[in-house]
Amino acid sequence: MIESTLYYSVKMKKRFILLSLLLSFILLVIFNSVFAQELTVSASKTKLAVGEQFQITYSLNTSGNGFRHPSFNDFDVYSGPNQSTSMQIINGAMSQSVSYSFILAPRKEGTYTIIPASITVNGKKTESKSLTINVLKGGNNNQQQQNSGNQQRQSQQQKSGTEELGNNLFIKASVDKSKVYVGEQLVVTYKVYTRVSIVDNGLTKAPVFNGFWSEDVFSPNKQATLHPEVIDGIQYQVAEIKKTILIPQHSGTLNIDAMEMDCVIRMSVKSNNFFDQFFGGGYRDSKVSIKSRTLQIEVMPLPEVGKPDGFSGAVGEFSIETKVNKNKLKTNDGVNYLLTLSGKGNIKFIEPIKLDLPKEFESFDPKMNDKISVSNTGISGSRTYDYLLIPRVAGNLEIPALHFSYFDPQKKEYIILKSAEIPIEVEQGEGEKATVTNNSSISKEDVKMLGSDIRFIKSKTELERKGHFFFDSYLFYFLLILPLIGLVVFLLLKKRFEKENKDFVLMRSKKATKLAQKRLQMANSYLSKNVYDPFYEELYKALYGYLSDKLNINGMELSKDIIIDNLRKNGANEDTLKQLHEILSTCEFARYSPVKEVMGMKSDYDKSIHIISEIEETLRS
Amino acid sequence: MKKMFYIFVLLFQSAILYANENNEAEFDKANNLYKGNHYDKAIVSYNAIINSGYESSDLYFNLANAYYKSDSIAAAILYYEKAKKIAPFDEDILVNLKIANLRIKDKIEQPDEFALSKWVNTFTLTKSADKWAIQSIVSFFVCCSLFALYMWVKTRGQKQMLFVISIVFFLVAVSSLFFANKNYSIQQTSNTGVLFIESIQVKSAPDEKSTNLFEIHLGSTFTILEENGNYSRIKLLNTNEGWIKSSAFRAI
Repeated sequence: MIESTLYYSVKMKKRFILLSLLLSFILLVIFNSVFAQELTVSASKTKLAVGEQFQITYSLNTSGNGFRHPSFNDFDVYSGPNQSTSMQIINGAMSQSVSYSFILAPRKEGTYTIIPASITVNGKKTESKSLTINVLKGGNNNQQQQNSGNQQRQSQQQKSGTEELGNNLFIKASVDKSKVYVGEQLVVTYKVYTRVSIVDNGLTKAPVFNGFWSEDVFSPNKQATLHPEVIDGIQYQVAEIKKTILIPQHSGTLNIDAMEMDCVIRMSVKSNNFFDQFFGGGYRDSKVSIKSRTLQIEVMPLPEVGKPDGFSGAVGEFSIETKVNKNKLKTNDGVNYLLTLSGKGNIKFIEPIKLDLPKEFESFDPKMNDKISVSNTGISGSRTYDYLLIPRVAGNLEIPALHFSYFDPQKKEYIILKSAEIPIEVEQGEGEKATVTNNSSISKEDVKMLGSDIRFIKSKTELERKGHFFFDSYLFYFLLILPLIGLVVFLLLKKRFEKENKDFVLMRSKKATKLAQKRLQMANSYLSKNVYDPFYEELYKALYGYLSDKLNINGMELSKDIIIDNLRKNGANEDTLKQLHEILSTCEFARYSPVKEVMGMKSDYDKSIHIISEIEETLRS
Repeated sequence: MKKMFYIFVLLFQSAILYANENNEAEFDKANNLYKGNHYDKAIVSYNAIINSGYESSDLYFNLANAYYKSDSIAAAILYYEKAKKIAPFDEDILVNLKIANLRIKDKIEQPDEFALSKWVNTFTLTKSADKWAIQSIVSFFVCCSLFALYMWVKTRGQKQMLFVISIVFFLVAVSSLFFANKNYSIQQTSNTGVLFIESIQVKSAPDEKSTNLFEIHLGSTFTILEENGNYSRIKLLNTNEGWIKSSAFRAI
C-alpha cells in the first residue's frame, strides 16, 4: 500500500516535471515570437571533430542591414555569408526574415567561442549570443580513409608542397577593378589553372571579404567546367571556381583574402606490376594545397562635394518610376503609390525613401519588394516601395515630385532623378467628416535618442542653514503651545465673566425686593395722606422696577406683555398674572387719567403687595 | 523689552540675508564655472558654500553633476543621494542618480518595501519637516479657535458642527506632528553609505582575519546598521550583510 502510493507520488512528480517542461517550452516559443527582433544564432553541431564541416546560421525575423559577422579565425570558411531572405504578407501585414549562414570547419581541437554577430534593425544595433564550439580530435581521418578506400591498391596518398608542381597548378584571383568607390560593386573571380589532372578538390579556406558585402554569383563546385586558356604560350585547363560580387562598405584599402584549396592530383608512375601496366599503367595520387594571392582594393569615399540632400547611399546606375493605382478616390480611402527603383548597383543598401507628403495625406511605412538578380556583370534589378496613402480631406490634391539621388561611379558625379507630380482627385467620402485636427497625428515619430547624459545643473536655489530646523526650534514649540495657552486663557476669562454676570443678576434680584419694599412704603405714606398721583406713580415704579430687576430685563425692553410672558415661562399661576395685568393697567390708567378715584387706592396697594409676594415665591422655587 | 526683541530679530535676519546673498553669488559663480566645463573649480566653489553651513537640494545636485563630469562617480552618487534626501521627488535628481548608478560595477536590485511602510515613508517625504511643523501649528491653532467658538455658541446644531470640525483639525495637527518628527529623524540620521574605494571585501565580523563574505565596488550604496570600533556593519539593498572598515565609505 505504502509502496504503491510512493510509486504513485513519483509518477505524479514525473508528470509534473513533464508538464512544467512542456509549459516552459510553450512559454519559450511565445517569448520568442514576442521578442522576435533578436538576432538568433544556431549551429548544426556544437561538438565535432577537427575538419568536420558544420553550419552556423544567424537569423533575424525582420529586415535589417549592416550585418557584421565575426571573423572565424580558428575555422576554415567553406562558404558564406550566404544570405537568404523571405517575406510574407498576411492580411496586409508584412513580415520579413533574413538569415546568414556559414559553412565552417575547425582547424584545431579545443573549445572555441564564436563572438556575437551584429545587425542594425530600425537604427538599433542588435547582437546575437555567442556560441561555444567543442572540437574533438580525430574523427576526420575516418572520412578521408573512406574516400580513399575505394582507390586502387597502388594508389597512395601523400602530401606534397606546391613547389613540386611549379606552374602546373595554381589559383588566380582577379578583380574587374581595383579602385572603386564605397558602394560600387566589383567582381572577384577565382580560377584554378591546371596542367595536371585533378581527381578531387576541396576548399580549405574560403576567402573572407572583410569590409565588403558579398553576393556569390556561383560558389565552389566540384563539377566546374574546364576550358582551355593560354598564358605565356602554355596551355592550361581553367576552371572558374568562385565568382562573387563585392560591395565595399567603407573607404580605405581593403584586402581580399586568399583562397586555399586542397587538390588531389593524379600522376602516372611506372609500375612493376605487369597487369597494372596493361590496364593503363599505375598512377599515384597526391594531395596538394594551393593558395591564391591576397588582393588589395583601394576604396575611395564618395565625394562630399555636390552630395545632394537626402542622398540615400545608392551607387550605380538607376532609374525611377512612380505610379498610383487610381487617381480618383474618396476621403479616408487608400491609394497605393508605387515607387520603383531599377538599375544596376547596390539596390539592397538603399535606405527607405522618405516621402515628403502634404499633410492632407496620411502615409504608412512602405512594403518593399525586391527583384534582384546577380549576374557576371554585377547586381541589378528593381526594388518597389508600395506606400499606402490615405487622403483625409477632399479636393484636388497632388502627390509632389519625388527626388532620388545616386552616385554614378563611371561619371564620378551625383545624379538627381525627379519623378512626375501625380494629381489625385479626392471626393468627400461617407461617414464622419475628416477634421483638420486629424492632421496633427500625421507622420509622428518617436523622439530619437542621440545619446544619454546627466541632466543639466539647476540655475537657482534657496539655500538654507544646514541642520537648522524650524521643527527643532523653541519657536516651534512655543507656537505649537500658543493656541492651547490662548484657549485656556479664553476659558478662564469666560468663566470669570460668567461668574460676575451671575453675581450681578443675583444682586439685582436681591436688591429688587428691597427696592420694591422702599417704594411700597413710600406709596403707603402717600396713601395715608390720600395723595392720588404720587401714590400710583410709586406703585407703578415699585412693580415695574421689581419685575425688571427680578427678570433681568432692561427698562427699554420692558412692557406688560413681555413681563407676563416671562413670568408664565417661569411658572407663575394664571390668576396672579391676571391680577398683575389688572393692577398694571390701573396704574397706567391712573397716571394719565384726569379722573381720580381715591376709593380703590387701599385695595390696589394690598393687591400689589400680594402679587409681589406671590411672584417672589414663584421665582424662588 | 519688546523693542529689544524686535531689534534682535532684525539683526539676526539681516545677518542671514547677508550670508545668503554672498552664497548665492558663489552659487552663480560655480554654475558659470560648470557651464565653462571647469568642473574641478566648480566643485571647489560649491563645497565652499556647503562649508559655510548652507545647503539645498539644488546645491547638492549641481555639485554631484560636477563630480560626475569629472568622473568621481562615488562622490557624485553621495551628493545625488544627499540631494534626493532633501527633495525625494525631484525628477532631475532621480534621473541623474540612475545614470550615475549605471556607471558603477555593482548592480544590486532593490527589494520591494512592505507596502504600508513604503506608503508612510513616501507620504512623510512629500513635505519637508518644517512644512509639516507649520501645518501642525496652523491646524492646531484652527482647532483651538474652533473649540473656543464651540464653548461660546449656545445652539446645539452649531455646537455639534464646531466640535466635529475641531476634532478633525486636531487629528490633522497630531498627524502632521508625527510626519514632521519622522521626516526630521530621516533628515537627521545618516544611515546610508557610499563606498569611496575601488573595491572592498565585506567581512563576516569586525576583524581583518574574519571570512570574506562578498565584494562591493566603488560607488555602491548600502545601509549602515551599527558601528564597532573601526568597523561598520552594513546591509546591501538586496539584504546581504557584513562588516567593512568605516574609513572606506562616506555617510550621506
